[in-house]
Amino acid sequence: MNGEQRLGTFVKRGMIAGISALAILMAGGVVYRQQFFESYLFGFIFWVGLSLGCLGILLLHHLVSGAWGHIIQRMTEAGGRILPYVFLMFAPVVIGMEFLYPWTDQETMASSHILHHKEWFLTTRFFLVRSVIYFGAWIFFAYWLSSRSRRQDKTGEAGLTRRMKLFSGPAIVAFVISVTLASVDWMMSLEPEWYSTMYGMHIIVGMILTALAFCIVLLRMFSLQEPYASVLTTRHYHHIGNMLFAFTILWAYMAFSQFLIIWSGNLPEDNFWYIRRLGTGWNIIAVFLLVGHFFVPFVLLLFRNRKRYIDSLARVAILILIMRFVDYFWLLKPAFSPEGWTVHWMDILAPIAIGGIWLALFFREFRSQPMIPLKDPRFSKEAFHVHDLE
Amino acid sequence: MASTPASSSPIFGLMAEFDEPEQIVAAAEKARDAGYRQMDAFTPFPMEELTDALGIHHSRLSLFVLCCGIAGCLIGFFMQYYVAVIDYPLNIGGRPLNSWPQWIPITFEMTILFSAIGAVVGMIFRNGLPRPVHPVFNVDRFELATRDKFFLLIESADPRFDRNETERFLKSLKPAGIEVVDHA
Repeated sequence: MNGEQRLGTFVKRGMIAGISALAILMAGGVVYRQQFFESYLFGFIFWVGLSLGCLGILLLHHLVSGAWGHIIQRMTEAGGRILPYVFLMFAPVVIGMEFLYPWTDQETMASSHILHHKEWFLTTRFFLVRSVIYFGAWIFFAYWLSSRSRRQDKTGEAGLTRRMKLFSGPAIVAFVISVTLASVDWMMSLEPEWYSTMYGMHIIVGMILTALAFCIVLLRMFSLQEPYASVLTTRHYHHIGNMLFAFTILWAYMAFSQFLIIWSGNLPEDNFWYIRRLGTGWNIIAVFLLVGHFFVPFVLLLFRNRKRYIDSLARVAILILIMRFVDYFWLLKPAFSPEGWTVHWMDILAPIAIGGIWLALFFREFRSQPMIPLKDPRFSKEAFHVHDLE
Repeated sequence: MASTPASSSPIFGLMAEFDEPEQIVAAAEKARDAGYRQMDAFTPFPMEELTDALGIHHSRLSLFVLCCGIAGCLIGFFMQYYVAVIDYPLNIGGRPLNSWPQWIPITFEMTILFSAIGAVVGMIFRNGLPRPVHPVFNVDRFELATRDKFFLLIESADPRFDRNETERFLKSLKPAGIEVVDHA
């Protein structure tokens, strides 16, 4: 089939782009070792965030159901199922720990009173153990749910739906806790003196927003192709567009709440994080985020018709995906260059290298199954009107 | 939503009763194709498909709500600006008088409050409410619209309405029954 070939070329092109970019990146890493690890972490965080956002949407969908989740369920499953490979992509972060995380240095830890209290948590061994546990839990969730959904495709067993729902309740709690801790480990501990209780939720919402935007772009790509062509209606787009709108607002809410709390307290152990990001050249990026990540998508998504047509919705989703990169850049990079913003060529190449491989693996997974779980009893009856009552 | 009784016609309209949701959507589409515009439909649960079939398009309510929201946003912000900067400037912890981050939550809440009130009040007025009685209640079977029946009403105020012609048209839709709706 035409669509099958198309997915096959995505896999090939993604792999070629990813591996060649990775080769250049590694050659560059020989010369600029510090920069290599910084850029790699930036790229890794974006793509692991996309996988985790997919997993979060999958858990949420099984828990609350809804037509919007049904049409992107197989995408979110594919994003979750490639987590074992994403775990392998974590290796360079581990190798470069000493370059990235100041707490790996004993002298730094001894120098500060605050860091002294964090010594038991921020150790290399505990960090690695935690990361393995996070990945183990996420991979388990993704495979448990997707394998049952696949079995349902074959057998049509209705009871599986209920079991997936019961599983997702506790799993989503574990998901939020583990991703919060992972964001503390991988991102927040780049500036180990600093902490914020809002940070984890801010990151999780950002990841889910990334995954939603990604799925919308994919829907745009496959909307004219079966099975989507005969299933998708403006109503589906409207629902998923409203989700995108809601998560855009939620992202701004999280980002602003964290800022407001620290700004109000204005304590030196908290506020240096924002002074770096708002009181230096980084403030241009902050304003850019405020406008491009919140105001523009907010105003665009206010209009009902923009959410009801996939072309216009996908354009907003692409904008959001670009702004997600900028957001991660603004969150991570000031830890390494606090005096102002710079973009190294590796900062652009690293997300392409990891992303090419990620996308190739994603499409390989995505094409192996029917694009929509067609035997889910919640949705066989939704063809006409019953969904409104669910 | 023609609420004024059309003096030209002795009845308010004709109403067809259907058993299935699919039927009323098809019927509404056919009525629209036949040129009827002054129509309404009554169903036991909300049906988005019917909104499209009846040709009820964009309502100006959303624009009204947007204006309310913008008004709430500006009032919320400048109320605080007036208090903190103009009317009663106070040095709190050495912060600038125009400490706008502090005002965002109230500004946001005021935006939501004004939009929500605007949406509810605007919806009520644009629907012609409050309205104690409506001619459709003259039909005894109409109470079934809250249970399991679907009703399509063509009002006599419609320029294409003709008692005999419209009744023949409704019959062609194969309804479970046709009722004459008298004026209240």
